[in-house]
Amino acid sequence: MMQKIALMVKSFGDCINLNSDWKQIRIHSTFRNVINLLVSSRIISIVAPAVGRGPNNIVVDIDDFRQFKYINWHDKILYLDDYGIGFSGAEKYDSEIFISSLNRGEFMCNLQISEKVVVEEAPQFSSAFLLDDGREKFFKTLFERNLKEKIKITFKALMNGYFDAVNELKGVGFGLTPQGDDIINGIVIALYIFEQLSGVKTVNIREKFYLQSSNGNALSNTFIYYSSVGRFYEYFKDYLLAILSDGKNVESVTRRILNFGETSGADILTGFIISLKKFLEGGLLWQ
Amino acid sequence: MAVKGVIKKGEYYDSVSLMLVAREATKLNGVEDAALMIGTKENKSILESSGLLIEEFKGASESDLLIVVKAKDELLASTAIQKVEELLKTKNLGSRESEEYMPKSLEGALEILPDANMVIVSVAGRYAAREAMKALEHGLHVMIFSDNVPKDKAFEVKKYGREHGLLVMGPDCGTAIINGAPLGFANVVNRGDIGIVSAAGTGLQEVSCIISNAGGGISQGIGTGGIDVKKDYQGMSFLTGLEALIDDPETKVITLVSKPPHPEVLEKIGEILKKTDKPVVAAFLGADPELVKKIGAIPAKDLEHASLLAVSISKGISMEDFEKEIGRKDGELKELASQLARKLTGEQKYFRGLFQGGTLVYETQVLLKDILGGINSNAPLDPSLKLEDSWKSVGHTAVDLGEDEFTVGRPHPQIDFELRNKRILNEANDPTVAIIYLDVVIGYGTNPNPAEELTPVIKKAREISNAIIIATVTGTDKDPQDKAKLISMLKDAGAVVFERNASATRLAGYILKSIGG
Repeated sequence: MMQKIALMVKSFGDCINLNSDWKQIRIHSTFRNVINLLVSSRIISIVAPAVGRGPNNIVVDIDDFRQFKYINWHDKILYLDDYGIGFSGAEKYDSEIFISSLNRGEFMCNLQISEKVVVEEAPQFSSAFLLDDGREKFFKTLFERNLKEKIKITFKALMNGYFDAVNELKGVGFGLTPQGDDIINGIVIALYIFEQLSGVKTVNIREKFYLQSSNGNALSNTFIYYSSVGRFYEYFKDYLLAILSDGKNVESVTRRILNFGETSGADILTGFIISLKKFLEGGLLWQ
Repeated sequence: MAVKGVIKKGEYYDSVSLMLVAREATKLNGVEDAALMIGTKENKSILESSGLLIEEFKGASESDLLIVVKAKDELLASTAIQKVEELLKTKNLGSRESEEYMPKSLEGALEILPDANMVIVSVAGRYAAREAMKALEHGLHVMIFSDNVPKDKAFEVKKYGREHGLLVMGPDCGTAIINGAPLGFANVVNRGDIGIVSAAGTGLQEVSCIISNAGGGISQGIGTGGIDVKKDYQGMSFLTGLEALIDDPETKVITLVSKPPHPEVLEKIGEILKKTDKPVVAAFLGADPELVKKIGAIPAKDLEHASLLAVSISKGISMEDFEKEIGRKDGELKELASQLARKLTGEQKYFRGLFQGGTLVYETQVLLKDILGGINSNAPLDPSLKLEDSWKSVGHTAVDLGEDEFTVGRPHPQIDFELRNKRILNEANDPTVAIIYLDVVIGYGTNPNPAEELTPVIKKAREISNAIIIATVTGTDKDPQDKAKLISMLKDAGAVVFERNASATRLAGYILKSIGG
């Protein structure tokens, strides 16, 4: 027996179209704070408030999603098991970013502070060794060392202007969103920000990154897609606003990202920081 | 060398879990290398270059999980694969069906265990009260491990329990010891005649461990959850627990543990105490001892004092001898403090406490309040001392790393040491820090290898700084982590180690006092 509306949404992302038909929907993966739904080929995530808002996030006040086994779309209402999800009165999250002014000196200083936090506090198995080779020691077994080398070589090639290296970097890594995909996500975010700062158009190259890096991993594809169109998750939007504007709380917003998804936050930041610095020094690397 | 592997479909894990399991696999007998990762083309090429790509993997899809082990021979490789699958199961988020019969309802569980008289509820907070109420309606006692239970629902459940003489431990009750069985985060303690009612989880662990280590024993350890002694809940579970211990023939001494209860709750406790001759020791941390005496309990200054008092009463030791012994130990602490203080430079003056246990950070603040005139914290005694940014220490600081701001997206600090380890090094890099203070709570549910995780960081901190590192271990010799080895490794790493938070805190206080902190 389905209940009409039992779970009220606190907020939902501005890229979620509530009027579309979600008949092709299934659960992709479930974690304590998140249940990822595959709708057509893209992910929509129902998340606990602790995860935060995002372009494709539906925030519901639930502290453990692992209890839910079924998803259903019935009579224009989304159901988790028997619980209907109500959107009325929910806040719509604006995932775009607006940069009003910029002090370049302060910005570079903020980026430096953020980099320091990543180098010092990123999880051991993250790609932060690209920022500080002293962290390479954490990769011990032959397989770990080969993985690290693969990331290092392909990333270096990419940063030296060899675009096709993206084919070698995507999909490299262990878990739900492999390290390589997260680094690419960071680069795409950097491209968007570089366009905002310099006026150099990056839309084509961002799209190229998205298309080239798309693979069978719906989660990575979704994350990179939203970054490529300039839509950001709340934790990253807060971070960007902090480094681009007043610089307040740069350390704490960086730490918040480091706490995101085991190594994912650190991997995205690593890709973002290195590539943005490179663009600001020498312009776009790929045409 | 033999390379063996399996493909798992539809299972998702985060990178760190996979890497940690792979690391554990490489420690197994005869294993040279191991890897767990999703089956992308690029990962397969890394496997190939590592000599780990087996034929079956070539057809695996990008969403498949690949597990591979290289070992001395086929048998060792197969055994290692089996072990890896077991390790993954322990990390599994429960998406797979168990092959054994697992009851899915309370009724089903009662069919298997018709004599059970207690139910542990650990579901999402929103649904916990409903499950607890079902158990109560069957006449069963309840321990609600879940937190975030709506206030009105928590009240309803507690009220029902109180009216029907049933224990409702919780919500947010993480620790209990019932009939000798440790539940939740709890330690393996001696059985004996001291009963505890506690509205403080780590407080119950600390007191039960000190009692057990001092040669006493526990009859029952009843947790209530911290909210219970607040005005809104009127101590309903606390009072039922206290009555249960009064009626329990195996309990000769009762120990009460809590932050100061609301005055109305204190009065109700006093009314119940009038009905018993059993000696009652109360560690209401920071409460006025005169008020405690007034309700008929023996006031204890701290958790250590309460525990040792209870043991002395249980063993028939006179109060005079007991106080003499306490005074002698305090003298030793002062002497040690003055020796340690001499090693500090003039610049070093601050206390930095990095805590796993909520009750312990509270106790430390209570004990240091008089010496330091207040400590900054994310869970301060005085709201004006709240840290603006919990990630940054300011002056004297005591941080509760179990607070929500630190546990979003990561396990509790009693399980995951990474965050605190980083913070230890941050503090070591601050030249004004005199003392880095750590609690290490062991027992069921906590990190299985605290020594291995913590000691390298302490060594590194000692290389960076000559700040004094004080560690207090809450646990017993029967706990699964090997307490004696842990203490010896902590000492070897350069920490001053105690087994009682209050003693460790007093040492810190005396050091700071002697340097004019």
